[in-house]
Order: sequence, then structure tokens, then C-alpha cells
Amino acid sequence: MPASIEDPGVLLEVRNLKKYFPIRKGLLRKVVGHIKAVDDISFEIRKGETLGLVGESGCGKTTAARTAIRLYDPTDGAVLFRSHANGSGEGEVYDLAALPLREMKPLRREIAMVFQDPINSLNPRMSVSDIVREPLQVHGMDLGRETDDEVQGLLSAVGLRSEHMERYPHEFSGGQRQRIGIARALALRPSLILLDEPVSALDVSIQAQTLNLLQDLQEEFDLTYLFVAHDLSVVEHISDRVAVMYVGRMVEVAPKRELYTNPRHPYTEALLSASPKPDPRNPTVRIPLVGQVPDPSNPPPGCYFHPRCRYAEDVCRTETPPLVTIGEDHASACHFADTLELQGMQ
Amino acid sequence: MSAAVLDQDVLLDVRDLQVHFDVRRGTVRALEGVNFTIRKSKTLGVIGESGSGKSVTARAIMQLLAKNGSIVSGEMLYNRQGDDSGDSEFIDIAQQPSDSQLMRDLRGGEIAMIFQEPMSSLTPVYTAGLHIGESIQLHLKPRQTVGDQMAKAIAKQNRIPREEARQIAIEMLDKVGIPRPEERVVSYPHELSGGQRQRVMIAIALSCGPKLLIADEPTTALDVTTQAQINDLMLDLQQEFGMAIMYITHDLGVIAEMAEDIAVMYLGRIVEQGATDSIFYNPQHPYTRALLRSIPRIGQTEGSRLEVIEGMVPDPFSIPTGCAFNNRCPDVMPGICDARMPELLTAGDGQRAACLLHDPDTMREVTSARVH
Repeated sequence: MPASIEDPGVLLEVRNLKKYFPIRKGLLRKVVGHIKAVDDISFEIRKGETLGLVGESGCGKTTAARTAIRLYDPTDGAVLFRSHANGSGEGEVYDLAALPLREMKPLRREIAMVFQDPINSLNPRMSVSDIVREPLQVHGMDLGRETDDEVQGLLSAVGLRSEHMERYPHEFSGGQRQRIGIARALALRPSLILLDEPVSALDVSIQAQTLNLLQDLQEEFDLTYLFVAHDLSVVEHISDRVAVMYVGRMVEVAPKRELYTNPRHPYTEALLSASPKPDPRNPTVRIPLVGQVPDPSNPPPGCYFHPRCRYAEDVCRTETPPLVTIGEDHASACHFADTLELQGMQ
Repeated sequence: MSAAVLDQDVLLDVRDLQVHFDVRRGTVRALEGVNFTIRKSKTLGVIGESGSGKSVTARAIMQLLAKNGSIVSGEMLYNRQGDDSGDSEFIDIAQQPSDSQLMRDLRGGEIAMIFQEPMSSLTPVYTAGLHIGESIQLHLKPRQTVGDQMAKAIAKQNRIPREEARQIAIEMLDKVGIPRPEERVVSYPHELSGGQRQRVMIAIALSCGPKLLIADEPTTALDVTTQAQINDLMLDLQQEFGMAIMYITHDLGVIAEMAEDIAVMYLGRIVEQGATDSIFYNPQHPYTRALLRSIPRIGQTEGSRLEVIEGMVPDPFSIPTGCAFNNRCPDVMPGICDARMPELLTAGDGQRAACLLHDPDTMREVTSARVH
């Protein structure tokens, strides 16, 4: 991998992360197998950047992101996070995967999350100002009057007016609710925010407003984003680098321009070619994908993508290709990454 | 009647359609004079944000509005082909009761509909809480095999015995690209993937050889690779069967790939309609332009911000007077746009736009007012 946590510019490094969910059967709930939702992935997020994480539903992108911030306990692997809580400088590195939960709590202040569905992720019985205030209370940082100003400042930072403060979530539109969720995420002044499909439930015009807001806040509050989404054009717009997942594994990581114009994994190529282009004069040339995404509890041997890959050869059916660096800041998990000539988007 | 002057090329001509819903707070004017044309064997894409009335329009054509909804005025002239002779006549669907024999025949044979794949929903698109009549199968029932459900639906649609319908079901499954259809007919819906379930719905819809297929956000819940497969399949089947498609979506990328013509809806009205190329390359209505500028495009947005449409779609009880878009419009003419209702007039490359900037009478007044 090009960069690691030893580099002070790296905020989070995930090493060989695994998250397996047991499949239980029978009266005694015996474990009969595992769904390998995240199967040995490694990546890093640099301070101030946006890393986009894409893939189809069930590929493990949400599980990977949630395990990387220890919302789920990892099955194996390390999550190295650079904390700046105790003063400035380079900060201290903690392995979130190994920390006892008690010691996790102060670190949670530095990591926040925004969910896809803004109605189900906000408590309907709490007013907007209470929702935004709650994280401060949980962490013992509610200072009464001073916090009132803080909450008002956060709401105005996300474009809500002070008369909205005492209203309840149902009184708002989807886009406004997402703004409330973003204000809540900002309350503890985190350095890293996991955004899980934050705009996919929003209308086109509201989506643009929300994406612009996220970019403005990133600059204003010096934020680092892990942006999980399935919409390739949204991810391209907001990300600096993009990682592609397939059946619990990372198949390609690269800076966005590089990944979109010069993909080096056949799955990335197929994914890009399937993305509809809002330009009737220049439609993309589709690369048909046969078959379906394999079952993550029973994936095929070798490269998980080989049954659908039009370039597959014998080695792909037996040997698992590791994610290896193939160019500057560009990694691919394909046996033929160096020789294939793949079609990107222009 | 005006129907006589319609071109034989036209399959459905909707004129000044108004649909209202009675709810506790009052009357929701869901459609406020909708006009569009669907041509035979062509695809009309209908695009709009939530609340624009896309799905209500589709349900009005099927005469399957919820009980609290009614067609207040307007015409929906459907070009119905005679059985043997090549003759055809235009019938006004708006005048037909929902449970009339004619509507049943149309729904069972000539007009079919598919919806968003309901079992694997990513995005909640249905917000209006509309109820669908029993005569249309919204989704596959979990406890019956795919083959049984298909055979039942096909037998009912085509009025043929169940055994014959089962054979058609297998043929149709093969046509929509389901491998080993003889084995698949005995599986249950949960054993299929989201994409396969949507293929089954398409197979049922096309088994009666419809002239018009209404597809309401058919790929919204599906992954991008599955979406591509389903859309390619629909285009292939259109080539083979020659049906017209009314494709409803909020996705400008999908519409660019699927449609020959596009109707852009905003708050219960068509604000612009025309050829896909004109809509994308020479849009005439400020809303269409703003919508096209607000979407991220791969390779074109590096480091830049998206242009946004200010504000949000107003709720149905506080729709602005005059042009409904005037409170968000970058080109608004104060005192004019909030006082007059624009009509759909020819503009640009022969498309039609409902904007006072394209209304010569209004613009003449504006210029003379400036001179004085």
C-alpha cells in the first residue's frame, strides 16, 4: 500500500480487516458457516481527503465502513486511527479494533456518521435542537447557555434557520432532515465522518444542494470523509480517491480521475460501463455482465469475479489475486492488471 | 371531435388532464392540466422530482387512481386498433369508469404496467401512499411459485386455460433472459434476485402483447449493473414486440439512454416536452436547464461545485400563483410570472415549453413597458 499510519498525513489505516457474520442453524443455533461480509481488506484515508467506497448492494461496503469505525467488532485485522484529542501535532495512533469499549468512548468524539435515511435516523420525539445537542450531552459537554449558541451555530452552518430549532423531524423535508443529521454529526467536532449513502434518498435538486454543503463543511471544519455510495457520478464528484468493492473484497483503489478513465480491474470496467450517462449523443459502450453476484457465504474459488469476467483464464479460477500496487497510487486485485487494456469513461 | 385530426402515428394523446385528491387538509391538485403525446412503438420518458405527478399520471392512464382521487377534466385519447381490419379509433380513457369492461380489456391486453422492484427497495419513491386496484398485480406473492403466479396472471389477461398460460410463461421467461426457465417456474420469489424478479414482472406485463408499457421507476431499487441489464432488455423487447413505453424516472442518465421523447414535469404540469436530444442540448424551460446543470457528470465536475436549484419543491397546499416554478426560477420576471399561467408553446428546436419567456404576447408587453 502506498501510505501507512506512520505517515502523519494518514488519519485512518485499515489493515487486513475481516468481518464475518455467523450463519446459525438448528435448535442449538450451531454455527454452520460464515458470511464473509468483509474479507481481508486494507486501505487508508488521508487527512482532509474524501475516499469514495463503491460497489453493488451486498458487496460489503457499508459493513466495511462501519467496521472501520468500530460500529461493528471486527473478526480480525487492525484499524489504526490517528487521534488529535490530546493536543496538536501529529497526534496519537490507536488500534480501534483492539481497544476495550471503555477506551473507545473518548475516540468516538472524533468520528461521526451520517446515515442514508434521514427520517428513520432521527428520533421523532425530539426537537431539532435536542437532536443536535444529544451527542454533546452523552459526552458530558453540555454547558447550558453556551451550548445553545453552539447548537444554533451548527444549524446555521448546515443552512437551517433558528426558528427551526424547536420543531420536530416530521415537519421537515427529506433534504432538511439530512441537514439535521449532518449538524448532529458535526456537534462533537469530529475529524472523520462516515457518510453512508447520504444523498441517495434525495431528489435531484436537493442532492446537489447537499453535496455542495458537504464540500463547504469539509473545508470549514477541516473534515475527512469516508463516502459510501452506489451512484458512480456522485462518488466521482465528491471524492479524491475511489475504492471499489466486490463480494467483501477490495478490487481496485485509485485517485478518481485515474480510476474512471483508466480502470485496471475488469469489474471496475463493467461497473463504469453500466452507469447511465446523461448525454444522449455519447452513450457508453456497455460491457455485458453475465450471471449474478456470488453468494458471500459460498463464493467461488480463486478470483470472486472470475465467473462473470470476460478475460478470465485458468489461474483466475484457482488463485486469489491480492490487491497490489500497479502504478502511482493505483492498486488492483487482478492477475492481469498489467496486461489488460480496459475501457474507461471519457 | 378533435380526435379525428390526430395522426395515426399517435398512440396516446393526453390533453389538459386534471386529477385531484381529497385529503383531510383539503384538495390536492396533483395534476393541473397535463399535456403530452406518446407515439406508437416509441419511448416517452417522463422525468420529475417527487411530487411532480409522474406516478399519478401513469395511474390515471390505467384508470387506477386511489379512491380519493378523481379525473376532474381533460382527455386521454387512446388509439385503439380494430381486431382484424386495419381500422382504428380514438377512445377517451378519461370518460371510461375504472371498472368498465373496456378499461378491463385495455388493462388486460393493450396497456401493461411495471413498478419499482418492491422486494429490494433502496430508495423510498412512493410517498403519496396511493392504493392500487386489485386488478393489477403489484408484486409477486411470496408463498406461490413464480410459474403459478405467472400462469394465473397470463391466463386472466389473455383468457386462456391455465396450462396454455404456463407454456407462455416459460416462453416469456426465456425471452426476458431467465436461464433454465422450466426449472425457474417452480421457484419462489425470494429465491430470485431483485433483477430476476423484475424480469418476471416484465414477462407477465409483455405476455399479453401490450401496445403501451408503462414502466414506473422500474430500475430504481436495482444495482447499476442490473439496471443496465433490465433497460437493455426493455429496449430489445421493444424492438421485437413494437410496443410504446412510457418510462417514468427521476434519473437523467437513464432517460437519456431510454427515451426518444421526454416530458419534464414540475408540480403537476408538463413544463417542457420534446425530442430527447433537444431537451438535453437545447433545453428551453428554466427548470429543465437547472435540473440538467445540477446533476454531477463524470469527468466534468472536477473541483467544481454543482449548480443548485434554490429552495425546494413546495408542498401541495402552498403552490405559488402563476407559474409554479416562479419562486425558484433564476429567470423570474417579478409581477409577471407570479400573476400569469404559462401555456405549453413551441420553442427551441421544435419542443414545447411552458414558460412566459417564450410567450410572444407577454414578452411584447414586457418590452413595451421597458420602453415607456
